[in-house]
Amino acid sequence: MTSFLTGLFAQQNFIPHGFCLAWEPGLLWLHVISDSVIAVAYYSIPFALIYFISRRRDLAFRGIFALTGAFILACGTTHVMGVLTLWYPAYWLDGMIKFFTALISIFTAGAVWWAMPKALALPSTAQLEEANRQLEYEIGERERAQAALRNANAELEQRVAARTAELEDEVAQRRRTEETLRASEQRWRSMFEASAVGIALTDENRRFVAANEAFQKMIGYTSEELSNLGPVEITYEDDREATREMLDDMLSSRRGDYHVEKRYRRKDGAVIWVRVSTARAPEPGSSLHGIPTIIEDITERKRAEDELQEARDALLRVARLSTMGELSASIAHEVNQPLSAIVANGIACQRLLAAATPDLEEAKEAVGDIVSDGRRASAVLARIRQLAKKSVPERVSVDVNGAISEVLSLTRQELQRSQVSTRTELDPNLPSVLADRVQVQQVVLNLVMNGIEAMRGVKDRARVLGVTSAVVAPAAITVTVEDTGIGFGNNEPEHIFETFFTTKDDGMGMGLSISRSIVQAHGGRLWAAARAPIGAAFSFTLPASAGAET
Amino acid sequence: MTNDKFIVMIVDDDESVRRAARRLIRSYGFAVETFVSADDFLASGRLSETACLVWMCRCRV
Repeated sequence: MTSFLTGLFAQQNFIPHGFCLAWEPGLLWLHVISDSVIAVAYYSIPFALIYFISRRRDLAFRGIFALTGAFILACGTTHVMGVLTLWYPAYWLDGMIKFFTALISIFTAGAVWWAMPKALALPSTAQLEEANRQLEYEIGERERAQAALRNANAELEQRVAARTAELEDEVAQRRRTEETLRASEQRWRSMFEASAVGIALTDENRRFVAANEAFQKMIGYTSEELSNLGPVEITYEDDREATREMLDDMLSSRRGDYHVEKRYRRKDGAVIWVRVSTARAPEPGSSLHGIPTIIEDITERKRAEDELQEARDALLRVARLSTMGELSASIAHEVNQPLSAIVANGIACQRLLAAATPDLEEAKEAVGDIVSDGRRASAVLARIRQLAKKSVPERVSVDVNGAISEVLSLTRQELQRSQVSTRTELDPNLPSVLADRVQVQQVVLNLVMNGIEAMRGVKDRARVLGVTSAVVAPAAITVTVEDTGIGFGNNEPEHIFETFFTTKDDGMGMGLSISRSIVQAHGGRLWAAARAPIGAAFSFTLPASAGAET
Repeated sequence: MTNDKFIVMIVDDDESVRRAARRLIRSYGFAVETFVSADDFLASGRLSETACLVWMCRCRV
């Protein structure tokens, strides 16, 4: 080893390199300075590289940098050797260093070529700048997006706050509505329960689903018993068909409401009169099921009405009898006429038959007259009886012209006695009316008697009673009785229809008010008018076909 | 049997009464004339022939 190292540095027999340069000082110094500068420069580079590597930890190809550093260091050393060999011919050492340099350089070259594709793959500065710009743009975008997101977020939060407030409002509103509804429900329920009239709810199966206390009391069934019953079952037998039809109509929405007076049969068998009012059935799909019904017990009212009707009928009859009492002389005469004729004919017959040569032909005629006069007297009596008898008012087809004629024949004597002439214009095409014949005659009789009375004091003009019948509308007739009497004076014609109003000294003042109530009960109208130039006219209408209820 | 000098005049507005009265009086052998009203009778111009007048109207004056 020692010999090797000694060999390396031994000058042996080699000539220093300066000799080749002929120790020419200029040339020598040129070499020395140039090689020294190169060596200094070459030595400085690896340090710079090491510094660079130490500072740039992220640097790629650190190995190659290290190799390059070593390679340049070796190169620098060869130049140092160049200076050294000028004076010391350590060519072995120089060669060894060169060899070492060659090795490192070849490794470095290989490494450089090996790393070339990877180095090329490294982005260039322009690319990096581009990437940077891209990145900056992306960052900008992201910031914008984030700003937008923040805005959206803020808006969302605002909306959530607004909606929350709205919802709170709604909840409060709903709570108020619920409270109102609860109060309403309570109110209605207390009305339902405390009501003096019956209230019931019928479902689509025609069963009672609810019935209040008043209804249960009215009908005598408990709520449980009613839940197995329906409107038809508790209805009086004769009214069941109508009730069934009513329910059909209500459930099929053919009719929205019903107001009827009908009868129920209570649990104890008693029959009661009720007024049933049903409201509109809820629309299909509505949450309200069933038919609400209000039931009012009108049994007492019906009884009172019946009693009132009876009293009214009695009053009419009394008024009729009273009028006939005024007419008694006239009526007696009307019966007396045929009776006188019968007596005269009878005596004549006796004489004719008692003669030596009986005139049988004349006697036969006399007997014929007796028969027809007897019939006439009988007919008059029948009419009077009909007017006087206590009869239940009825509705029959009435020939008004015939009824008028009978009244005029009954009053004929009275008219004559009062020196009143009659003028009748009865329309032969008058349709019949559905009415109570006696009551219609009572009205005509009242009007005729009234006319006669009104003309009682008339001295300066003819006393004429006009009786007219006519068709007015397609379905009505009118009868007018007019006189040439004192008229109404300063009184309103309407005034005279008041009960107990009278211009007569001996009158009750009931005739006209009774007449009006009769006509109205028949669905007609009775009114008075002043007649030109003097007197009064009373007219009434009656519907030609069906009359109204009594 | 008929006494033509003696004419009984009958005034009545009822036809059957007139017929019966005429028949009865005729059965006593008198001639009979009938009138519906006093006006008719007065207008007939037979007042001078009238032996008896039967007026059966009951009119209030």
